[in-house]
Amino acid sequence: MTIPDVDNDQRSVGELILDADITSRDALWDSGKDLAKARVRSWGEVVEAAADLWSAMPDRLGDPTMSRIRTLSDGLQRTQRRTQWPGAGDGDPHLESVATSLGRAAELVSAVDRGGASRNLSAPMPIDVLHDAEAARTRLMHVVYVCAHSVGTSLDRHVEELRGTLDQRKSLDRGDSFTRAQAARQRIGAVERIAGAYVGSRWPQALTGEHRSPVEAARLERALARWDVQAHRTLAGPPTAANVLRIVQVQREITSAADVVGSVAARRGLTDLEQHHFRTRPALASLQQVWGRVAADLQPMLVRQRRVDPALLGAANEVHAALREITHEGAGYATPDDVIARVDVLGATASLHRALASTVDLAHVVGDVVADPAFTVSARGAQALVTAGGVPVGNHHGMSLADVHHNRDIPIPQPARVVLAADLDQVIRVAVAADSAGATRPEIRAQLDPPTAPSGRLHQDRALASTRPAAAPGFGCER
Amino acid sequence: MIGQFTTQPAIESWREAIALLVEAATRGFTEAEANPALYSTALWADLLASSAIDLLPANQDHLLDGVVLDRSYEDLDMVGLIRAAETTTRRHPIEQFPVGASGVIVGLLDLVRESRP
Repeated sequence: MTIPDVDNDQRSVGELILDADITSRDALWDSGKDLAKARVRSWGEVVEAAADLWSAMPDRLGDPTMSRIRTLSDGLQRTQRRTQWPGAGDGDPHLESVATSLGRAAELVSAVDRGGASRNLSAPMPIDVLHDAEAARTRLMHVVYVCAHSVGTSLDRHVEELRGTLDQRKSLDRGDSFTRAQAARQRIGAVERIAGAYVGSRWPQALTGEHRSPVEAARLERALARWDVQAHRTLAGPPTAANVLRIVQVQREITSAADVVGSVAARRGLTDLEQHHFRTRPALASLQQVWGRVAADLQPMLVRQRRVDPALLGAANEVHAALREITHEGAGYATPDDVIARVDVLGATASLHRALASTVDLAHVVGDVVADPAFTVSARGAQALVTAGGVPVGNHHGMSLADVHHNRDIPIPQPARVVLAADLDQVIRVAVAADSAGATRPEIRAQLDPPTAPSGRLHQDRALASTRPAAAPGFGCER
Repeated sequence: MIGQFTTQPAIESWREAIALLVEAATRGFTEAEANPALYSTALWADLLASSAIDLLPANQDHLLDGVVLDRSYEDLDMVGLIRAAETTTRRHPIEQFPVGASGVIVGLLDLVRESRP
């Protein structure tokens, strides 16, 4: 982050916006909940400076995007003054630096404009001026997009913390307001979508791992259903190793999430603990292992070529985000209490196990794809497999030196195809066993039934069944 | 911002960022054998790599396998490689990348933040 000395600032307009871009990205490395109110305070300054710069630049088309953002931001600031939330206090240093850099750039552009001949917007402008203006405008909107996202992610954490406090029937700290923080999050989210649309962000929600607070009850079920349909559709198209690998990886993640959420449900007495511990869990572990083996055998044959069907990628992003917002906190798993606070554990367990019910069918379809003569891998990947000893010498027909040199797609060497087919047979066997172990039909208890005491050391894991706390509105000292 | 890369160095940096993400995912899948919670983060890195590849010209995927990563990356773990990928995207202003790059970069920044131990 550059601390600008305004009087001696020699940076050009382009450098100033670039500096704002880098600083806005730095802000996103950290989205601590304590930053939320500071960022909301500084947000208006960022938009004001950005809008000033935008309007100072040549614009033949009169694009209204920044005007819309300015209007939304002004409205939010009026609300803040009226409600005195977030109130007086420090701003966010990153966002203040962004606002300063953009403000300085606006001054520079305006000064050049004042020094030259009066601008006739209807007159044709030199092409280089238009190109520069277009580049600056893109850079500027990207900054607004990143800043809006950083304010939004900080607010997400802040809102989540306030919700937790209210759900525990505790009072909020003086100056905190759940409803106002949530409203601000929604309004800044609108700006993020508008700016994101301008810069052409194609997967604005799933790609950024958007965490929705509270977790939307139907999101997981919807994402899993979409994934199942799309995986089958994609596999019905041209067979590529990248698509197959993506499907295998996501199936493994679904299996892993079923284990995590299912364990929470069992330990809370919502499903049969003994059944989960002795049958379901080992079955899910085996299933993860065999999917992992398919991925490990397939991955070297792709090297870095991961281009997949865009529809499959969109569905994968969504299911990944829907799972992660339930199962993870940062890099690690969320605590059981967190999982319970986020989602209807019983409903999520049922959704995940329903999704696993199609594993056998999907593994059969993947097996058909791998057996398809048109199924290809990258020549360098196939060569690496040969070099590593994965394919017996003399059996890698169909791969020439020219194929390797140009890294062409080639039919998968037959021995490698045999290895993958064997992996998939194993997936089918394990999936059938998991199904018979009840892994696709969790034995659900009535929510308030006390769990049956399992034998031996599992007694320590027992917990009384809990009911999920009301999601919203919370109880407490809401101002 | 237009639908293609505007400079050769920009496309090369983008490819390098993809190579780093793929490497991060590969190491992450390995690290997940000891710590299964990391699997999700590794998959996220791989999904972002696919999203970034989607912005490359369709007929140049094979060039990705020719990217040689600096030896200084060899000792990095998954998190270090993800950070390196993000840093690589900072070499060029956003308008030198094609439409859609902003979303990938913001996704990458989220991944950096969420992958911290």
